[in-house]
Amino acid sequence: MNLKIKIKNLTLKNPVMTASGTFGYGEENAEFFDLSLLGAVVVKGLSIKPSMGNPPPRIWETPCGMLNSIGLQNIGIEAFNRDKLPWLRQFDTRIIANFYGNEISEFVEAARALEGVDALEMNVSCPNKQAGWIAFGTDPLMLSKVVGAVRKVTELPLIVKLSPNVTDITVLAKSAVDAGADALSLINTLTAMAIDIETRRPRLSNIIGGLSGPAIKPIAIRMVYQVHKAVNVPLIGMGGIMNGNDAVEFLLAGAGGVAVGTANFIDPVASVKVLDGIIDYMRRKNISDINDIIGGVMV
Amino acid sequence: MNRSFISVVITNQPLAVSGYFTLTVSVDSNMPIPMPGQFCMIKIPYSLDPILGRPLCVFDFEQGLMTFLVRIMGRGTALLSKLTAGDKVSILGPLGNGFPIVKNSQLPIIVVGGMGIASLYMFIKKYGASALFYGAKTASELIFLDDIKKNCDNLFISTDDGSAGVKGGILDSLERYIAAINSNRLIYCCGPHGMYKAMAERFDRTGLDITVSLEERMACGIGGCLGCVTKTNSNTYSRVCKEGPVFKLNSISFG
Ligand SMILES: Cc1cc2nc3c(=O)[nH]c(=O)nc-3n(C[C@H](O)[C@H](O)[C@H](O)COP(=O)(O)OP(=O)(O)OC[C@H]3O[C@@H](n4cnc5c(N)ncnc54)[C@H](O)[C@@H]3O)c2cc1C
Ligand SMILES: Cc1cc2nc3c(=O)[nH]c(=O)nc-3n(C[C@H](O)[C@H](O)[C@H](O)COP(=O)(O)O)c2cc1C
Ligand code: FES
Repeated sequence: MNLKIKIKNLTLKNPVMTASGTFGYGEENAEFFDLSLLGAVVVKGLSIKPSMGNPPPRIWETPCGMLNSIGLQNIGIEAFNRDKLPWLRQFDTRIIANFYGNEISEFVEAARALEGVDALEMNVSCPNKQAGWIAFGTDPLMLSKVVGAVRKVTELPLIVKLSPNVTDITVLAKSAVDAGADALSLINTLTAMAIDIETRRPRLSNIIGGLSGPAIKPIAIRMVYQVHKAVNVPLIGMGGIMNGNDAVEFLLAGAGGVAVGTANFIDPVASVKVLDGIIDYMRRKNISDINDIIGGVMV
Repeated sequence: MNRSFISVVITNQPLAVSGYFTLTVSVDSNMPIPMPGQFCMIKIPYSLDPILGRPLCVFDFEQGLMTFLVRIMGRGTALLSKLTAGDKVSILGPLGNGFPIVKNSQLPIIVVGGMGIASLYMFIKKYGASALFYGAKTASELIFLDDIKKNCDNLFISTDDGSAGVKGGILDSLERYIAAINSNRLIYCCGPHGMYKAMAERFDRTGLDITVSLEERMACGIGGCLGCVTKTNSNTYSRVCKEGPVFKLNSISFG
């Protein structure tokens, strides 16, 4: 059975990754399973300087999902390269660094500083910060500029993680690919809000957060399906994947790989179970190559 | 080390005071023995709504059984209250850092506000306390008081309405006690956040060594989501689930 997938010149042994921000830098979940089982570990969003993140409360549960406003808390790229990356390298898996910046120059600097990983995933979409950089992922021109600038300084496979908070995601997808993206990740969280009706206060200190989990899966599937028809690069699908069947749905919609996010919070071993579920499906359907089902939805 | 298990409900016992129950579940033989103050994430398996586990302290752990003391706060705890013997629950734990174990000669003064007993009961039962201050709104909310009496004879009770012990907050009695003794400087405490803030203000310069257990909303319970942070005095955020839930009071920022 072939489970291998490719992102530019990078081969992943299987299509299952972790979604950035739901797996830390891998250490916590490594207490539960061998990270070498995964196709790739995508680490928490990194920035040049360490970032403190938002005040609590940062999470609120919603029906079949959750809101978060972590605010991209991270240890900074220098500390990542020094303290986390060497440790992650003991595992036979690909290490993908998710990163962000508040200006184009910060994206560029971050990409340069992250040359020790296997691939880069640009977060141009996280809805948590109030500052202007939200526009990167929602405006085709801004997106094209920042992707183009990062493309110039890195040879690594460059994945652009799209924001779902747009009217037509295919416009942004094309813009990122034209500017040099080797692959696209979708979707990031949907901006969302909840209010405590007793106190009339927002549930999150940041007021607005990002919705993730099974609640967003049908939206993510729809977006993967649309983007798959619009561009010709590998897609990494995510949004509410809880098991192998969910992952197969993404593959059929057009994703070449999948990332498991919120499910890691419910079960630290969820990503491995998703992989097992994909394999079960392939056996059951007599499919020998994972690439045979990518985009295989029959319409 | 695996800490993810499916357990079976053995008993689910409502308490005399309404809105509280104890949930006793089977324990997988591979589960590490929980330390007092550690917690588990409890969830009804496969349910997507609610989707997240609920953090609950290990109230008691004995002879292959683990018990949680739960107060019904919302949907998650209400659903747990309806479980019956034989139902399955998923358990992730034990998690976090519990209260440090000390030598018998240096037993801490233990301060419990209401539901805080869930976190410290196991410590009291196993090791006792040099003095125990137990406060609640009213007498009926002094949960498991009879059991506690057996394990600690130096007991100070207070209730907001005066229905048991001294009328008023627990910290007044504690302050008087501390002023009268000057040997023991070690305090373990679990209670509402407001109580910690009041302690930090009152006992700021007393040189007391105060350890408290914090609560924050949690998603993963293992340190992966950064959802449960609390502000520290060095102006950083610490994860309550991983660096805590037990912290030194003077390391926490109330600003
Ligand atoms: C480390 C830790 C140990 C805990 N141990 C126990 C225990 O032993 N027994 C016990 O009964 N409870 C304990 N709790 C609190 C318990 O986890 C919450 O009451 C529970 O998650 C609420 O879930 P729910 O679905 O019933 O309520 P929800 O519907 O989620 O919320 C109902 C209300 O409770 C508030 N709330 C939710 N979670 C918390 C929280 N963590 N702290 C304060 N308020 C909250 C919400 O803001 C809301 O207003 C612990 C919490 C932590 C972090
Ligand atoms: C707590 C939390 C933190 C996240 N942090 C990041 C991040 O740092 N960078 C990023 O690109 N996406 C981040 N995300 C988005 C996820 O990677 C993923 O795109 C999204 O949650 C959808 O997948 P899911 O429904 O499986 O969680 C975060 C999501 C959650 C829930
Ligand atoms: S609950 Fe996820 S980091 Fe603490």
